[in-house]
Amino acid sequence: MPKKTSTTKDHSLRTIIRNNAYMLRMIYSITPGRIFAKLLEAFTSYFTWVFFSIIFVQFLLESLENHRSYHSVVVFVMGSMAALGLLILFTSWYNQRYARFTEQKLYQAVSMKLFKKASQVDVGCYENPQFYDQYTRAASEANVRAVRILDDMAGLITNIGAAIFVMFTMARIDPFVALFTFFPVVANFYIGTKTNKISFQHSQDDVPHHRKMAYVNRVVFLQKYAKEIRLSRIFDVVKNLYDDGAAGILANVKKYMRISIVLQFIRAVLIYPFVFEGVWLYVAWRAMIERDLSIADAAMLANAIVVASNLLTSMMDGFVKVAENGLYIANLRGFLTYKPLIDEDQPGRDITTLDSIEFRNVSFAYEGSEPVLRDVSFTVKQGGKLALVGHNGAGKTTIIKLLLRLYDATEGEILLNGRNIREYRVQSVRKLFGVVFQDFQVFSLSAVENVTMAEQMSGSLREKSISAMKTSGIYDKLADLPQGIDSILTREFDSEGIVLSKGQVQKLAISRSLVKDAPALILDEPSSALDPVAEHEIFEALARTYENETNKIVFLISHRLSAAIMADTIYVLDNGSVVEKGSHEELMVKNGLYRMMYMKQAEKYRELDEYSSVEEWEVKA
Amino acid sequence: MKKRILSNNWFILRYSFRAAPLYTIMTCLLLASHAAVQFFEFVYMPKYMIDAIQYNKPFSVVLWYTLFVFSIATLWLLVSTVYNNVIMPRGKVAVNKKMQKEIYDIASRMDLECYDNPNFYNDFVWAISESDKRSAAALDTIRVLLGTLTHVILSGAFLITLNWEGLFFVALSLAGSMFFNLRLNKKSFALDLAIKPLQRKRDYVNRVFYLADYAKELRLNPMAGRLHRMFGEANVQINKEIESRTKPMVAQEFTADFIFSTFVVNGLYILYLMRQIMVEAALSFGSAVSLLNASRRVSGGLQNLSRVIPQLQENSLYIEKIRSFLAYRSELANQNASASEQQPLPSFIAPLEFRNVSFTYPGTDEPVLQDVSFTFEPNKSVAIVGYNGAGKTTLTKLLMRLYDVDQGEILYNGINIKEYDLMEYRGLFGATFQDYELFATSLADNVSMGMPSPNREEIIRALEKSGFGEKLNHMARGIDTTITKEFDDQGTLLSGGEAQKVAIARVLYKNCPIIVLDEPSSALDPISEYNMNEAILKEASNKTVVFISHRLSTTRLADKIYMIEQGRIIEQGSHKELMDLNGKYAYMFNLQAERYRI
Repeated sequence: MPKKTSTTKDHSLRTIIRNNAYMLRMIYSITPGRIFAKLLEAFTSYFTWVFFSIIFVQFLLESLENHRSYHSVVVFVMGSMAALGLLILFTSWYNQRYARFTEQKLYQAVSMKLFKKASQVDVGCYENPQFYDQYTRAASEANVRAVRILDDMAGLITNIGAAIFVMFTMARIDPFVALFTFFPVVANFYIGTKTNKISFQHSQDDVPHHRKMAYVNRVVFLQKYAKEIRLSRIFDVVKNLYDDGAAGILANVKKYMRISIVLQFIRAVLIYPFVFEGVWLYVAWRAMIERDLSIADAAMLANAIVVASNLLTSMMDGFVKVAENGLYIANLRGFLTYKPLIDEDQPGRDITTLDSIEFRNVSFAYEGSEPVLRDVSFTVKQGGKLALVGHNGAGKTTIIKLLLRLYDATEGEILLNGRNIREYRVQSVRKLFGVVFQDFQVFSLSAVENVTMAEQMSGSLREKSISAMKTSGIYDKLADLPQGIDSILTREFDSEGIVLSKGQVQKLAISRSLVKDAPALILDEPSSALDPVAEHEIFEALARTYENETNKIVFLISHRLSAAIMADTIYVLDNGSVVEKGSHEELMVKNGLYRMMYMKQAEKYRELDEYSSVEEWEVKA
Repeated sequence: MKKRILSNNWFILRYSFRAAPLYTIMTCLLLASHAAVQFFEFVYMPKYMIDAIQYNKPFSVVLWYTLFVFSIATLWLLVSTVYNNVIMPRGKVAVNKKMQKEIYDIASRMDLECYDNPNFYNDFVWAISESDKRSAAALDTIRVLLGTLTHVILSGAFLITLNWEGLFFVALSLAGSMFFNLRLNKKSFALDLAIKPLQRKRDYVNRVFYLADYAKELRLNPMAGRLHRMFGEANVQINKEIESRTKPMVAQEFTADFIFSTFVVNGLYILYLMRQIMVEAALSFGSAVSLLNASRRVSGGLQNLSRVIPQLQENSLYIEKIRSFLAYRSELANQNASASEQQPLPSFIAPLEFRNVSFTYPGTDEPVLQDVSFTFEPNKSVAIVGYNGAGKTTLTKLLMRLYDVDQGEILYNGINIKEYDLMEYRGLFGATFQDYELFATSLADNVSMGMPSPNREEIIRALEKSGFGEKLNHMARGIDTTITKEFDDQGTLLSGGEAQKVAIARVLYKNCPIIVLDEPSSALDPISEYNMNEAILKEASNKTVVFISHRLSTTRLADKIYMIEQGRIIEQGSHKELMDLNGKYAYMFNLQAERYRI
């Protein structure tokens, strides 16, 4: 099971910087130009602001006070326009073209890197909600977030530069005015940190309440709940959750309002009116009473404090964003550096043929749960047809997961051709099996591609998949479509896409497992939820498979015992252990669990005079 | 159209005023008053101060003005902090609560038909599920609009009073940048539209790699390569679109952002102002600085307006949806007899008759049921069998009046079911569906399903009868256990089989005359299935029971079996009669049965 990496819990400044640097390095390796271009773009927007608010106005007023010629003003203004024109030309190009191109490039490169990793992490990671919420979600957003992380970082850096420049400019004229920036600094970085913490706490406290309200929303609008709601009064009960949620939110407003109002008010007053009006009053006093400040300098200082204060505020926001990004990147790194317990890249033996499979005293438990398999042993040889039957939750599907090395056994060993499964390359082992999963997925590709599942189509592969489709019995149906077996499945991208029925999907799944040409087949509940005729067709497909594939090992999992009869050995699982094994005939003689299950299913299909009830049979037995 | 925009936005204002008057009024006034404060702080103040310095006014004048601005700015901050922390959050809850209550009331009774057409559903029904966020956004837009208008009017008036020629520059800047921005927006919208389907392909690949559903498949098959290709191809296409479309966009952004904004306002207008001062001596220094500020604010404000107005329009479309949703009336209810003409339900179990019923799902051509007639006799059990998609489930939906028939009629006790009160009529049925759902409340609620004054012993008994008893004994909090961990860490997750037993307990608990079981045993293993069938049959001796199942072993126990194919009843009779008929039913039965013959 996945373990936490050390980076996640650490909120320190160093980790934040390290994590951001990690992301920037990744971006740099993909598109270094984007980093420089973004920095220049951020510089342009800050520069334009600072220039017009401070330098431009100061120059103009100075020209008036010092009676410069109109001509020199024209030269200055036009010169500034030419420089700004170049910078804005650059940002227009950046915004409309360069940023778009590099975004796609990043998106592609980051996605490929992550997809590769995503298909390697243990399947267990997907079933572990903590890993999934923390790491997998981080990875699925990475392509979009990468750009934002760069933008936030570049914004913060230029923001800091601009703030230093403005404060320096102010200090050059009057160091005392520069001291006014002390108030927005305290307000932003001291009080601001406090209010941020409180807001964060507040929104955390609101989460469970919002979830309740969102649940009510889901229940009333999702189709799957619609019938129950209309046929019962359950919504009256569910609706109460909304009121609970609303009451919770109001209680939180009350809980936090006093402290938030006081802190936010003080913060805002210190950032805005206190320094804005304070500096005006101060410069007016110097210009009017002390008479040692020019009008141009006074106006410039009054403008500069507004810019400085706003820069300090956006700087604080920038820090918060970068820190949040740091946490996000930690999760992403957790995903990227995750070492799969079952490593696909680990070197090992290759295996291409399968003479025997042996489970030797295998036990397995999902982390933190009761064992699902206890001391299971069995052997199957080439050509063996094996069925696993038992109650829901008896451990049938787990055996398959171990066999495919989606998990490793907790105790005991699994031997392929007499060697421990762990000695082989994972990829090589997985190639041995063609599998029909219970939760089979159809991809938004053509029907034939859904069977081949290969990157490139070839003539021989196409032939092979056609014959696999014939064995499973889906070929005729597909060939009749206007685009034949090249018809696109699902309506994901194509409103004319083909939507297959459950039975057809099962047949498609069987074709997929056959075309792989693997020495073993695994069929997990291939006939559930089908009508009798469709079920019968699947059984026929299985029978054809058994007939055609005499050399293959076949595992069948089913709680429809009628399907198990075809197997030459049936293993009955109960509560994680093998309780009975043998052929159908042997097991029927044995009078154990299998026979009881079989009789219960069969009872009603038989003529009533044979057995009037299971109870009667049980009495006889 | 324009009238609609105003009327829709007015609607949302009125609506929220009724739910939270203080919040609504303050929302409208807050940014407008801010614009006034800002006018005194940033437009008028520089003129006032610089003039005072230039013309050697007494310092006290400056002091009083600064104190005045400080006080109004501080007062405004106080009000806005209180607004943000108390009035707005409370107001939002009040408005949402009122609106959601009304919407839920309608949504929970909306005809099932509304879910069937995916376009209608996504566009309308699902869109309404965001109404809380959208109505808040609409109010927010109105707030910004009023704020910006105040801004433009104050600064504009100032501009005209001091030097009306400045308006010419502002107008030129606005007209030019609007013109080019509009073209740019059009182009960028077209680009977005062109790459949207390609982005959907990438998103699809993204989803496949991160969803647990696909994880096993990807590890066992070389599918990853094919998906990488799909992703890469989409990316190449996107790049092509960007390459071919963005060149003119660079020019348009530059023209709008530089020539018509920076150059006209900060270049030409400034030179004009400087000329007024230096050559014509017609303006004071302070006036020049303030005029510059005012002109920037006016053009900025007007640009803001050009962004806000389309938003107003967009919100209006959404509010229109909310309004028509609030005005929605169930078709089924419309078909109903008016309250005064409604018939009382009989106090005994009456026969249910389908008379020449046909039905087609809205938006499709193929009829699902055609001219179906039969009668469910009271206290008898009936099985409906047939292929997947033969119309079995549709038949039960019509039965429970989740839909109305297109042709023919359904009669209960000889009276058209439209003559009864809809909710009372539906109360006759206890049903489990293939796709039953559990709710994130207590186990007891999940069995009693909100029936008034639930009887705890009856609930426990129903659970025991459905085979849930053993599990119940292991639950520390018994029937008060919360189902799912959604809101309760101590909650219990039930397996498919267990959940199905709870669904069956619902039917057993609801003491109703007619039971409908749609595929009740699909997730159960053989032994549980057997026990469950026994339980239901025992319970059903004095009720009408309708079974739908693929397992013909279950349905053969029914008093009467209807075999449906392509929306028609093709065979009917008892199991024995149908076996003797040796038709489709016998064929299907034998297909299944032969596998159990030794």
